[in-house]
Amino acid sequence: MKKVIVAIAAMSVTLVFFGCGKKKEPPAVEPPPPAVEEKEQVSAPTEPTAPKEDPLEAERRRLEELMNKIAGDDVYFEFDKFTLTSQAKDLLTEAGDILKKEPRFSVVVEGHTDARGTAEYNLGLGTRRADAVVQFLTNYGVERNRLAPETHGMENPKAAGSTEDDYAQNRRASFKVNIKRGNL
Amino acid sequence: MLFLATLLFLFGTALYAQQDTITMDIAVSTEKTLPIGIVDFSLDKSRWGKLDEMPEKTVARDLELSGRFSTTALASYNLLSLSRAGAKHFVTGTLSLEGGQAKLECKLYATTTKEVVKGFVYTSTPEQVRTSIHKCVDNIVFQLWGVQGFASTQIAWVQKIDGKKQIVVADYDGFRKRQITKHNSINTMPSWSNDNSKIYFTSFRNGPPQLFERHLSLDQDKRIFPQIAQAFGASQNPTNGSLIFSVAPAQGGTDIWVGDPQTGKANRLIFTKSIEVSPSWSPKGTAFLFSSDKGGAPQIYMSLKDGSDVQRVSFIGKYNESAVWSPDGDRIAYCSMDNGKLNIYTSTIDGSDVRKLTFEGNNEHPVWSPDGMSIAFSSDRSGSSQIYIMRRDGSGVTRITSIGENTTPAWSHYNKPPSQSKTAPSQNINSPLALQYFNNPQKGVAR
Repeated sequence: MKKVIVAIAAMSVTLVFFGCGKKKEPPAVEPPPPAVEEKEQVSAPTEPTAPKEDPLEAERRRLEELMNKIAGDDVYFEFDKFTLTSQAKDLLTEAGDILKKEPRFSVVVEGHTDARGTAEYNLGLGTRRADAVVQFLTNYGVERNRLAPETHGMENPKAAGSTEDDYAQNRRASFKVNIKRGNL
Repeated sequence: MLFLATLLFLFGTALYAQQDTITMDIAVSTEKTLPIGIVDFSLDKSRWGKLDEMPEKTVARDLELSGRFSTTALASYNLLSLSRAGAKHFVTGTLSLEGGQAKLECKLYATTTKEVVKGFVYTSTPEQVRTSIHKCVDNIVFQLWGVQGFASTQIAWVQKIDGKKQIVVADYDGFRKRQITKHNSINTMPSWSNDNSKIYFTSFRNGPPQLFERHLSLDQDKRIFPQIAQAFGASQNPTNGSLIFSVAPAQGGTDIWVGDPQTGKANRLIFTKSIEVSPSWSPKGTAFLFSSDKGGAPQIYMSLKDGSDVQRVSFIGKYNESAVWSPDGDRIAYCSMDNGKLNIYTSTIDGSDVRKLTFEGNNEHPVWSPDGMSIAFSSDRSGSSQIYIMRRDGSGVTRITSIGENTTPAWSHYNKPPSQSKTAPSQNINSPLALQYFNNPQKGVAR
């Protein structure tokens, strides 16, 4: 039951996002409200402490996936560089569009490096990469206070190996999406 | 007989002198090493089965790792072998159990006369025999060199345990390791408080890198400078106790900050748009080294403790980082990347007299022993990252870890001055035996 609800909620969010530029999907958005109500009725008596079932949580997860798909998977950097490539800028523009449409969501921007070099300097480089993304999104119109840069340096590689391809995968900025619950 | 002994003695000296003329081969130390013998300790093996190694093995490793000796190990006293090795002294002793307590007698003898130069007695629990042996070696180093040895110091480092980086602490030789941090996250960049009671470290447990301190006698990590969102890599000023560390600010590259871990007050020292990391105090805490990429790539700079008078130190190489000041203040050790590999170098504090110390794999994170004689570092030369100790000239490389992935060593400070045993013959510290030996090797110091 829960899974179904989450799936429905997630789908609704998906549809919202897929509908972003087109405006022809409003009918699809309508089904979710009953699902949400139903969920509240079902879950409240049995499991009072069930934040996982929060449709917002599902939405958050969905948005994070979307952000990662659009941006996190592809905001890559050259070795020892923190300048955004034109490809990175295109992807961040899409991410910026999502964030502008979803003011409830804030984003942690993690800056990562490959395994070459020292841990400390790589934390510096990760700082600059996260900063480059935050600066871009801010200039694009996303409020600065919704963006939290974090440096992870070489500590959280995506690819474990030490080939050139692995290194390229790890020189990246990735995203974590949070919900601002207070604003509901 | 006496004539023969003298002859052998001179023969040994000649051998030693020959070895000392070799200076440029990296495998042979350019440091003066004093030949010394180690004769097996006498102990009841049936009662000491639990020892992780026999006392003479620990003594020999301690003496070798001190960087000051070349050892000759013997099962029993042998004048010929000792003389051939040029060893004017030898160490041996006894280990016994008395009322459940371990009693270690450890004596330094003159080779030719078999006269006791100095003797030390320690009583401890049977589990603490290693501590007694380390103390004994420190006293022998003090007796022969007039400086305190580091056999009783400890090293903290980062080990991957269940896939997570955790801080561990062990004797400086890697024995008796214990896990300090347990939080299921990345814990790294350990450094010692001035009194060795605490470890400062960086943890990603809340997402970004943040500074923590850990009392070694407690089981709790405490966040320090919580007002700073992202900070890492703290080291304590040896004079005033302030911490210097890197901060990732809200905008731009990382900066260097200084703060008081007691009050939590902190302020910026070096702040540019560039990356500034790896601050490290001078021996007296009046200045610090750090790395900056304001010239396009990381290079080593020096600043006074208030952040003024910044001067570039490194000029050779495109990637110089992780500089640490030697305890004597005359040299720095750092790592430098060439052809994609990190290696450890030393230079004077004005960047001249650059010497490359490592040549295999990646070699990172140099830290000086408290006496400045040795450098600990991590290297992946064996295929996995492990902790090594070498002499300050790059010779005598010894691995002290073997299991898992081990990085980022931090050498503790001295615990306290060497104990002045009552039974010690009064020896002028200004003229330790080793110096007498090197100044006048023909005569030696045997009495």
